[in-house]
Amino acid sequence: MEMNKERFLHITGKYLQGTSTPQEERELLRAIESSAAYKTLFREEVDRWTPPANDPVYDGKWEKIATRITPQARPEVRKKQFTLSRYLQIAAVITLLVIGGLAAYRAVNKENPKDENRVYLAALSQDREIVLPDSSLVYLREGSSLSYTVGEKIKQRFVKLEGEAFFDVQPDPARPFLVEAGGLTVRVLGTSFSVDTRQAADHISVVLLEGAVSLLDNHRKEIAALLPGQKADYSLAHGSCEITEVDSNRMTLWRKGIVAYENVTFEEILELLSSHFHKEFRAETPVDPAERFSGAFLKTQSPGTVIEQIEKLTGTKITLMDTE
Amino acid sequence: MHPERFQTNQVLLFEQIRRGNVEAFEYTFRKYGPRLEAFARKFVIDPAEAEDIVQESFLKLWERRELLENVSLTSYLFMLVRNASLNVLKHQAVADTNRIRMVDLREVERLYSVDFIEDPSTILMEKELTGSVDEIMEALPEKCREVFKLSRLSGYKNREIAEQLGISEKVVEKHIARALKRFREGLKKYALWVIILFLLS
Repeated sequence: MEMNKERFLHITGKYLQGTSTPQEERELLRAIESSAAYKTLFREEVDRWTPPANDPVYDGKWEKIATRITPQARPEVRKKQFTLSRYLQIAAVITLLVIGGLAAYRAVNKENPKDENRVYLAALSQDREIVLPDSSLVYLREGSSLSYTVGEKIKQRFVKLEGEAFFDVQPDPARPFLVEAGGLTVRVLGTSFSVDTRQAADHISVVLLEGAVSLLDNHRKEIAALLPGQKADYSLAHGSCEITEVDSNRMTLWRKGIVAYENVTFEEILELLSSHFHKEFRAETPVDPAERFSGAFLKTQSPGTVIEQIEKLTGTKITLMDTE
Repeated sequence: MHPERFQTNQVLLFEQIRRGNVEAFEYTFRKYGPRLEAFARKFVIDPAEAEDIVQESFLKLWERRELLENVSLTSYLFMLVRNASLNVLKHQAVADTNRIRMVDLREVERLYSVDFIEDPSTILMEKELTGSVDEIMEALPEKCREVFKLSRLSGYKNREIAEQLGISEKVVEKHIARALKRFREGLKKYALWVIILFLLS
């Protein structure tokens, strides 16, 4: 008798936390060795699992190791790093760039005449994932657009953004990565940072988690340089910049990564949703099996939000099936 | 459907670790540590002992990170923990033999093998390679090894090592260069092995 999927996922979860019993492990092993599908599912779950953000026991264990490998770090500095609870999710090291206040952006930046070497990309009715020439990934949210320059002689990587996007920046010490948005330019030397413009159209926050970032005003003069763990609050109107230490928990969420799908059928999207949320979904109206879709969502988004997004994308209502 | 899209890319993770990225290393520790500890506990029973084994294994990984070009991250960690656990078991007093007998170690390993060993065809090569790393390390002249460990494991700068040991920075550099050369020479054949395996697959 084959194990049911719910139990399989449950035990796998326990296994990954190191809390499975020998009995459970035997069950797991039997399922994996008798079913190729379960073996694949096991491997997927194993790869997908992220360690918990709040784990004081493991914080202590990590502290012991950290002491052995970085003895010269000052105790206070190290403590700060641990409260940040930062993780590097290689599959999708996400850099968040959130820009609101289009009016402010347009007022401050006069559009240059269209450059032949500039590529313009927009995400109209759905999110899309873009690969830049340097292999950096951009997850452009719907209603947003960006442009970048192409050409062999580019000394720096320069992206202009309108709207909202996540960046996964390829480190390249020879060519800094610049993002211009809302009248502020962020020069990236590391890979993990976020820029956020709030409701107040002239307010921009930059948070650096890893690497190095310097902020330039619209004369490309350096306003501030950030160290990891610091946040800069910049006011366009006053040209003032305040630097503070960052509060971790709020910032770690978007680092969990994104799930992207490309050119897949509706069925495949449902499969993706069910394996990600561990629930079963189905379409309320029939969908053309030949139709294909592309899009992406954050791993931290709730099922409701993601469903809504996919319903808009596919034009079909999706419902949650009750599981036993 | 492309399952590989959603995977923690081990290759990239290991690459980051090789470059000395402590965060990537911390992530690796937090991700694989819990179940590696559970695995070690099956052999050594005592959770504190298991924790030590896993800790030492991760430290070894960190110390040798730049030397392990053709090894899979999870295979290596698994090998380290397994070998260390078996070692402790061999030397342990026979007090808990009953409990140990109750656990069929070989069967239990199968689950962890599916997890940690992605590609069984390379496991033999990886075993040999890591064995070679051990041998080369042991064969290093004492001072040379000491300097290497202070540099790669403990993270001291050359200047600091020089101060600590009362030698010149130049000598420190020489020791490290010598160690790296020995490792490079001794592990050269494995690069070829990987190519052969690739061509045969």
